[in-house]
Amino acid sequence: MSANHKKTPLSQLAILLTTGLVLGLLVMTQARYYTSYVSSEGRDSSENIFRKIQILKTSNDELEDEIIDLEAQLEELSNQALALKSIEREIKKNKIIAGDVDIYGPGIKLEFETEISDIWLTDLTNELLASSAEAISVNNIRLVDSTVGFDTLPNGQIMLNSIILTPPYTFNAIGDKTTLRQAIEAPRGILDRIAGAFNEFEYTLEEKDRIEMKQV
Amino acid sequence: MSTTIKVMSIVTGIFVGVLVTAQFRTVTPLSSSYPLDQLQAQKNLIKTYIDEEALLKSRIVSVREKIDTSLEQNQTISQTANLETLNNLKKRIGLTDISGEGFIIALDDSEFIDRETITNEEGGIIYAADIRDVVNLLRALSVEGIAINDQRIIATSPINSVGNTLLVNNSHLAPPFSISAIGDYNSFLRRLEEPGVLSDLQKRVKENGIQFEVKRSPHVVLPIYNGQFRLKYINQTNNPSS
Repeated sequence: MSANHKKTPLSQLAILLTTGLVLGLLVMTQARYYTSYVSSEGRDSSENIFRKIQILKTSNDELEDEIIDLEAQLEELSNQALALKSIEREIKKNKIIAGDVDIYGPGIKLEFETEISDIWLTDLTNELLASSAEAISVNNIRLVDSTVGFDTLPNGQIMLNSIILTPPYTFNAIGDKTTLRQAIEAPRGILDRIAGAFNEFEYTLEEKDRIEMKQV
Repeated sequence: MSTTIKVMSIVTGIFVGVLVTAQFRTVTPLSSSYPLDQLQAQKNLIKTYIDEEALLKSRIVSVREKIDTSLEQNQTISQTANLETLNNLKKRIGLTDISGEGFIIALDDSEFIDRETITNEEGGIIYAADIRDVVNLLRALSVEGIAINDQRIIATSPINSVGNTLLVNNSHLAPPFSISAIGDYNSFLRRLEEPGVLSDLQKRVKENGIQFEVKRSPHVVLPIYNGQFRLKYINQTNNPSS
């Protein structure tokens, strides 16, 4: 009885030490993993960095193209014969940007009935622009520099360009139709996020060879 | 259990505790590990692109200035070409500097925030969505022009959050953000007082220490848009009314 009484604390100590050692190893392994995870900014950040690199590279390529166009324009201006044509071309281009002329091109048509808030309409528009949409219209209202932004009336109705929007909401976007569709339908993309906020959210999305937009 | 064993157990516990704590506090030396090497390379690549972008945008502004000078100095062009139409269009689409009475919105993260270490769920930082909401509100007020830091906002300006950084016109912007607008200061203040207007941002100003200040200015200057216009897929309809 007395011997047993002496052995028990020793075995308890052994168990205690072994448990402590195993626990310590487990915690250390977890701590090492955790520290590594934070310092490398996590997988989500890594994905975002790739996206950022892609955006910056594409943007820089487009900026280089813009410079080539502008330098060609500058060169033309030094030649009387070409100068007037160059200016007319510039006026034509700027009229398209300002919304002064009817336009068409390939793109996508997104339609949904769910009454979502103006914040989501702003984000959806932004997502299309970030995906290189060249022109966008919402319920046939073309978005240009003079367009009055999304606004919510006290009764909850949404206005755009001082016109009340009623469902179905139709977004038309001219641009690379595949890129546009993939961007907004991407996992955790804008349509996923809207669906997360509105359970009943359903939409139809079509790639179109010809989207038409009227002048403003 | 004897006193000695109890003391040993406590000492062992403390020892393990100290080891675990030290382990938590020690940054794992991963200088040669794959993820951090890759991350550093990615950051370097981003910096290269951002530097290149700044250079390209300054070249765009420079060439546009040369074009304007060339147009003004060429008498034949100025007498025969429709320069008034061209200049009006340029003004409407952000291709000229503009100035006028307006206001400046200063937006900054909470003083206690370090962007390098926070997660996306932190309420004390300014998100791209906050900037988008402010810009949309300004557009709803029909202001004559908007700029964020040195970036002129046009109809097709994207405002994105990538990780903890912001891209406006695909240019990298860091806080503090200065949103300049030419328009009616009092109208903007009145809209801010309406329920539901910038509600999330205003809530975080109160609860998370986001810095938000609006100042009237008699002379706001907005820079020329220095980016690209995408017209690769757009065609003009052959319509007599166009």
